[in-house]
Amino acid sequence: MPELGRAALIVCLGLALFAAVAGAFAARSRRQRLVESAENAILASFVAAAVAAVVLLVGLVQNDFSLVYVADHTSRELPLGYTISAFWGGQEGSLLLWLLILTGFSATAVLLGRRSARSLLAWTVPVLGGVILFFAFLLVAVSSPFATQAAPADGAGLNPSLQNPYMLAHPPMLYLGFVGLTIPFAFAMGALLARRSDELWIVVTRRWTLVAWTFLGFGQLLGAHWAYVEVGWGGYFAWDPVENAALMPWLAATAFLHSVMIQEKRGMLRIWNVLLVIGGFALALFGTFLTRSGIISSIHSFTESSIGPWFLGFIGIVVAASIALVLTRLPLLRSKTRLESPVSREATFLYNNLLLVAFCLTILWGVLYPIITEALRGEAVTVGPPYYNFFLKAFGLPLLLLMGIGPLIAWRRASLRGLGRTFAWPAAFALLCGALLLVAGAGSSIPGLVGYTFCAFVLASITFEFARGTRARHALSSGSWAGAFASLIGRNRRRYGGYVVHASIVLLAIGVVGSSAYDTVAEKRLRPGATMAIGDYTLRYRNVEQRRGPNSQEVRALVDVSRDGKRLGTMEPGKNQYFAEQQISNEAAIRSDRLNGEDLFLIADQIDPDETLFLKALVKPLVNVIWIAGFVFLLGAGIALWPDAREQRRLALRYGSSGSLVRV
Amino acid sequence: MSPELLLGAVLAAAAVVFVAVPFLREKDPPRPLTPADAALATAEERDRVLAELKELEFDHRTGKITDEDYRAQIGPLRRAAVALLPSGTAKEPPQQRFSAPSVPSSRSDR
Amino acid sequence: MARRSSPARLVIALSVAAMLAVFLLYTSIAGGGTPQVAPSELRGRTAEVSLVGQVVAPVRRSGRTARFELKDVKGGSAVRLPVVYTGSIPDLFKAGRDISLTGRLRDGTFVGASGTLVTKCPSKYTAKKDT
Repeated sequence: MPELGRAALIVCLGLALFAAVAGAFAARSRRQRLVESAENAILASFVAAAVAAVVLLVGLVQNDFSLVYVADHTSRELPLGYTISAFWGGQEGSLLLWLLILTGFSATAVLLGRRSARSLLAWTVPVLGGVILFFAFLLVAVSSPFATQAAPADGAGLNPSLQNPYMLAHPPMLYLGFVGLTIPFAFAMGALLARRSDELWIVVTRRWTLVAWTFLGFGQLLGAHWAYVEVGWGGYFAWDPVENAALMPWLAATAFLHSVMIQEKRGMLRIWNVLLVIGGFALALFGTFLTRSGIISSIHSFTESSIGPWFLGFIGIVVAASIALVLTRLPLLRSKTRLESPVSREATFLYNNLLLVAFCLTILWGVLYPIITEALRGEAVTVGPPYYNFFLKAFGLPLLLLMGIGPLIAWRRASLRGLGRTFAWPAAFALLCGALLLVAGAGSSIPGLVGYTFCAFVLASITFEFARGTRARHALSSGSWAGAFASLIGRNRRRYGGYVVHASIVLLAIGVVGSSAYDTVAEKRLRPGATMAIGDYTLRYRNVEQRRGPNSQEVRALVDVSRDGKRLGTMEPGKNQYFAEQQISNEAAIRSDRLNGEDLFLIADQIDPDETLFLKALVKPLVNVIWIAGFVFLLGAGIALWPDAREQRRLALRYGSSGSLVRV
Repeated sequence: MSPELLLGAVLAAAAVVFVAVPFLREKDPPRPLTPADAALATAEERDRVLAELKELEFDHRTGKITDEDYRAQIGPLRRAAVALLPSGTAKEPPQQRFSAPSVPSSRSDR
Repeated sequence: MARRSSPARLVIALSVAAMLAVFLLYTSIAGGGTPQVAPSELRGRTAEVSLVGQVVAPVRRSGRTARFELKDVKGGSAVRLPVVYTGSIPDLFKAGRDISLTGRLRDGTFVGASGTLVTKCPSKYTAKKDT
């Protein structure tokens, strides 16, 4: 079996080389048949990658320990679901997953583009081929999943903390996001290579960007939830380099997603958009590199691996070549319209770009700082959460405010009177909320209070958008209010879906602010029968219970929880000791209050043989709003992505006038 | 040759064949590659202006833009739209065009 | 348009300058982070550092205090630095694992600050046959 896998990867490599080289030649010399041939090579590369993937999957499912990869990441008693997830558990497998998704997306882009964007596709194909070439090369020559050995009796098993449903979904989702950013990048480069100055590449890649961005965002939220419930230190985001690795491309993609709207509507920010799409792709590659090369020691990075230098080299080539291309095509990218006023919707989007990029760069600086200082001074200096949290507030709060301002402000130039009219009610509502919160005690954290006030402003702004729009539609169509509402959204799915996504970000902000600016922490050493108080809760430690789990010894401290004299239940924080893997895992106990969204989080730091318990308790207000935000996020993205036949027809007409039928 | 290597060779052969398929056809393909042209840029600009007009109408109707701002902006926009109307170039059927900008379209909002 | 876009350009430039100022202000006030050193590199330095090393047995634990020695992760240095740490000890912590903790050197013993002990995950790429 492994020979088939290796052969398939070599075939993929050859096809990618052909697509890159012959495709470039074909596009340049306008040889139609060679162009099609290169396109076919992309399609075939997916089949080859799929064959290799199936070989690895079969090896995993059959517990074929003669494959080094299978032996290293699975064991006989591992349940099937986790055995399959071991596919991406290690470096070689995750590279193969990258290749599979990359070739799959590329093939889809070719199939869709064949009908709608022929001439653009001609130059996009060599770019896609080049990226596929890199990953295929790594898998063939540097880091093969098909290395063999004399089969041991059993495999090494999967890290227990990875054996839960979140870890099944989190990495593939992130990969779908990372790889998804390749497609807009390829089309953008293709457009530049083809010397096009039109917006076809944006129109074609709009959905790709949105889909990739959604996967990346939701994947990160899953990771945060996993960290919260499984790793259980009481938080959900630690500014760990690997976490930052996914955040940075997401921020760049967020900027790109918004900035292209300005290019569509006003023809501006064209250079910004090309740079943002390059940045997003480069950061996605960098993120993969960070996670897999171990160059930065972090709590979940892995030992130095062989692919680090190759990745760095590839990123360097990609960035250098892309920038060079942009510089040589600069005349094509000059916009015909200029920014008329610093107080306008265009300007708001520009500030949005600036803030997102600034935040992304500060994170990048924090991630690279240890490497730079080590290279310069011989000693690595790390920056911790205080650095990142400061800039999250410094840049994040203005971004929050802009989310509310953007929809309300007019295009081109907003007059003061117009501003006064549209902002009055949302601003008044926000200030009222702020005052009420201040009275309720939220003044203990000024950034928190400001955050909440801004959230209220944004929510009011979004509500007004929906309300005013529905009223206007209702006046036109004289149907029901519900019908007007549905028709409003249906006729402009991107805008109103976007507003729903904004609402989800506001919910996220509320949850983050509540659980970090207004949380309470207490630690105490308890003997059986002792109590401890935190917030409104009283915790009484009863005793220790030992249980035998399926593959672990479970130690639990029984803690009775009551609030205002009323008994709420018993929580059981503790630890599991896994026999096979010889590891101890922390099992935090979480009690979610349905009414106010807060969590009582108990960690059994240490349980001594004499039953002395070191208990750490946290009260995290509103933390559950974060997880709810995830669902609202998906809803909004779904609305924005919903195909719009009317818009398809309009675009078909526009690009149809240049000679080819369009279905975007 | 083991069966797997054989399969691998088959895969390679199939790939080569698939890539060569376009060359097995007749020489002239039915649809030549069309480069981008200036008409496309004008079409995009026209769509942009028309979309902006629609949005201006809607913003005015929903109260986001004051009457004075609306009056100030509608004139230049309409003139721009008229200037971009194709002068005898496109063969687009008239009913698929956007409704004439001078009449505030009741069905439009973007 | 009669008016040039200079006010807009100016505002943009000012915004960029403001962000840069915020960044520089923070990094100069809040300091540049903590240096990461190995036990052999400490050399009597008493400033606050982040110590990275491998735990040497035996580990003596009483309550939440752990006393152990730390050696370099890589390299053949014979330095064995005595460490005392009070605080929550991660579950992965044991002799032979790589850890990092923040603290300072006091009278020849490195005193770690509570909550700063981080154990590196054992490698996922080498088979866990060495238990």
